[in-house]
Amino acid sequence: MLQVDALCKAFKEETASKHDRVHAVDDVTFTVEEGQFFTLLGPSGCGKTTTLRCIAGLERPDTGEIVVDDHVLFSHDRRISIAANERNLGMVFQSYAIWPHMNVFDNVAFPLRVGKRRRTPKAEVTERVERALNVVELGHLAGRYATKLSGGQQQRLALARALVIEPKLLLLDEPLSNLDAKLRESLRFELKRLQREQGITTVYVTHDQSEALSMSNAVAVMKDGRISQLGDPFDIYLKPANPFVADFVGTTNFIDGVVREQTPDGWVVHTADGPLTVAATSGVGVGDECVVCVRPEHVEVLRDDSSTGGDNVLTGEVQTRLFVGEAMEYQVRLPNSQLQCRTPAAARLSSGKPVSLHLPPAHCTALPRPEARAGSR
Amino acid sequence: MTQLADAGPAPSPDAAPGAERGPRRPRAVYVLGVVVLAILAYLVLSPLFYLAWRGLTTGEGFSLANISAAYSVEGTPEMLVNSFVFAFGSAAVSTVSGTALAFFCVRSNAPLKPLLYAASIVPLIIPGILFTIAWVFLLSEDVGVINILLRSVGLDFLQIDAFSLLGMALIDGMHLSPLVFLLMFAAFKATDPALEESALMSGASVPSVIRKVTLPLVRPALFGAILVMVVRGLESFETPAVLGIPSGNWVFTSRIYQALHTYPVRYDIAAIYSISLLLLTVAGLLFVQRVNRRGERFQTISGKGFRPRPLDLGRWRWPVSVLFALYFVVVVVLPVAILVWMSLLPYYQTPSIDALDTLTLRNYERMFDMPGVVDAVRNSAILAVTSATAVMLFTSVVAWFVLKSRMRGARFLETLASFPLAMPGLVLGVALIFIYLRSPLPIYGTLLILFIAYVTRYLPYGIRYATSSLGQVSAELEDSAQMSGATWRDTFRRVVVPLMAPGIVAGWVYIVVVSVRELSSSILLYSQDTRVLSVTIWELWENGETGVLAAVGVVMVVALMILVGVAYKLGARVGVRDL
Ligand SMILES: Nc1ncnc2c1ncn2[C@@H]1O[C@H](COP(=O)(O)OP(=O)(O)O)[C@@H](O)[C@H]1O
Ligand SMILES: [Mg+2]
Repeated sequence: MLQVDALCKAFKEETASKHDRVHAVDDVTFTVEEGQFFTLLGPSGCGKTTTLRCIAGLERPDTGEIVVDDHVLFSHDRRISIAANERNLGMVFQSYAIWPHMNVFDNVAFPLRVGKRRRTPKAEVTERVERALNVVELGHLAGRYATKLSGGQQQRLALARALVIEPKLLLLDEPLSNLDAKLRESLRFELKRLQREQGITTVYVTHDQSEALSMSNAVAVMKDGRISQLGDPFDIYLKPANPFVADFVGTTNFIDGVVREQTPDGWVVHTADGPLTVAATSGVGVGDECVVCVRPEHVEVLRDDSSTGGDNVLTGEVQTRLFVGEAMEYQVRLPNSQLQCRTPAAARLSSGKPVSLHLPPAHCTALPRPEARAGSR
Repeated sequence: MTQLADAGPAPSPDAAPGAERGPRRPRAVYVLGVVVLAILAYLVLSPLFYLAWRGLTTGEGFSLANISAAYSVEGTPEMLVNSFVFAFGSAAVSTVSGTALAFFCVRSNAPLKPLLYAASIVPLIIPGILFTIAWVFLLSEDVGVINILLRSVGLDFLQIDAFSLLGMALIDGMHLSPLVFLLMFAAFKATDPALEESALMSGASVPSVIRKVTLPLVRPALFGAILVMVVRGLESFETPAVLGIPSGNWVFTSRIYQALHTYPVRYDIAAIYSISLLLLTVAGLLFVQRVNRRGERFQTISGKGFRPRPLDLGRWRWPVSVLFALYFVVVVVLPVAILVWMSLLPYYQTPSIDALDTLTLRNYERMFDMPGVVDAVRNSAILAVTSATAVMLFTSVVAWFVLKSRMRGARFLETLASFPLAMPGLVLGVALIFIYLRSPLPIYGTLLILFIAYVTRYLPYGIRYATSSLGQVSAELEDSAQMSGATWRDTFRRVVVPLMAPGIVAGWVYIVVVSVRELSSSILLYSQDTRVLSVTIWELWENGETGVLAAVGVVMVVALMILVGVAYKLGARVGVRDL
């Protein structure tokens, strides 16, 4: 459906010397299938918006190719560049970009009254606008001035405006980031429901990992203009390909070590606090330096009464604890490192108490050390 | 600036060579850009060129003879000294009063603040020529009401003669103090009160906080304001003409006027003095720009919003207010009252009970019989409306190029359009005479030459209103129109223009107001058939028709107040508030 191939876009640096350029998007390639919800996830400034704007046609890529439904929208090699207003894509902007001088109806009707669609018959305009407004449940506010809407309503209005042209592709740039936490969560489900019902292929941009994981069919985690990992939400969370993804998507403990041997159960990694067995590795082999990643909620806390050690058991003492409502979070000091772990709120341990921690091999992954990867850019 | 950034040729060798540009704009846009640049360059640069050319050539070609001729005219040293004494004196008066008003308006809990605000703004609404004439009747040696009052209570030593240099500076300063008020109002508003509060918490008293924290923080703004006012003082024409010419207190502007109204006409002297004055004002404003840029380091505007916290004046609350009420009476009530009084008398008499018997509306009737008054109203109206419309339409397009076109060098258009700010009206008038006097085009002596003068003079105001209202149209509003399938023209017509409209209308009304007040260019460019209101008032003054003059003035002030009220309401909506 959407193919983005080797997309590059650099900006001239405002402040620095003349030849310094910011590589906002640096060789990005991905494919989105028909009806999929595809998410670009990454920290602020990693090039998500620029990628989206290149697809939209609002930014002109330096090189690469963008194809929607076998229709080439941009190709550097073939010198094709379709203007944004002829791409027939729907887009919701981070600020919603609701035109303040029009009412709700006129905002949504605008795309049917301009450009190629300017000759749309009046009756059809009314019908399509009403349909779009009903889809987002704003039908009753059609005559209201757009600036009089609440944040959530503005967001849905922007969506209706994007949907009214029945676009081949819907582009969403952090559409929930301007809303407060509660509203954000309810609109997340709303948006997902709409997308599924309309069956519309969607490219979604966010820096919020839980949004990305809960809504998407596929996620591309971006860093410094490059895709760091591409996969379905489960892979991204459970099998991060590198420490950056592990750290950015959810919280993760990192324990430095060296891969010593491969066993039938997995790999044995020697760390300063003892040997650990890990079920999976990515990009490291025997003899390599690595980090072992394990999520706080996967660490099992054993009361240290019968502690005799054992496979993948480390001992330490509780340093600080934090009650976060649905769970307890502990910082546990090990002889040479620190681990964060999470237990149900009922099991409370006091500070200073010695504990044993079990790291189930199935949830441990050995990844290359960040330093070893550095130098690519 | 970000938009301009990616307009340049991509320095990296792998950038698309010659592939067509991104979101395409019609080629017509580039043509339009060139046309806009050509018009701007013609309006702004051709006067400069003609001035320089006329000033530096004689019949035999390039020569510096004009300079020595102009500067060897008798009385030149006095004229130079007077110019600066007058400019600095006027700046001193306006800076002190404007800053004090702004400070107490923004930062104190003085009662009667609305009155304070009115006192600060209203003088600017009264056309300079009327303000000055009103003050003749308040402050001239023998008939000045204030002087008569002072004599009757035995305070003779406080008398000031309107026709002295001191009186001129005082009157001009009072008229210009609103400009300082507006500049300093913004500066005081931008000061974070936490800085003062922490000084208070450190144990400083209120006066020492003002002295040690508040004023140093606004020092760059204050310095900039003083410079601007000196420049305005040098440019000022009304006061030096009405008060300075009869009393022989010559300054640059009155000399230029005189050079063109003697026989034979001394174009060479007018040109040299114009160039001198222009160099001074340009240098002054460039200096202001530098000060402001350096002042940005000083800026205390932090990201988070804060409300200016009023200082508690304590027992000084009422004394301060009474003082400002008095100021209001002096600069607003008295001049308007004396105009009204003059307009109701068949011939001027000092206000007294006896004179009340002779009150009549005759002058308001004579206004219509007087040859030229009705024509002047019509001409002023035509000029104000057409030049305001032309300026706002043109500067809207310029603003679009500056902010949105992503074209290289678009910023230059803004600089060009802002330049006339440094061009005194009289100097522009002189330059336009040079351009059109011998031009084969029949422009000299028509309304068209006045139109050109007004448009040039008010380009800077237009560009400010236009850029600030276009600046509010965020890029995403346009992008989303484009994503909706709108062409460039659709976007401009249906999104950009409607969103800019309130700011454009505000700017339009403002330019109408200043056009009606305009005297210093018109006085050089009008002809028998193209008198405008301010010129008519000038002529009535020269003919001693004070009654009709006052009647015209009263009507004019009332009309301008209504217009300014409208402009102010509209301007507030787009965040432009200066007059
Ligand atoms: N118009 C522009 N001019 C210059 N630099 C830009 C421009 N737009 C984005 N950038 C730079 O490109 C990088 C990526 O920006 P963006 O795509 O907006 O990031 P994100 O949306 O992921 O936060 C940033 O470093 C940003 O400063
Ligand atoms: Mg972004």
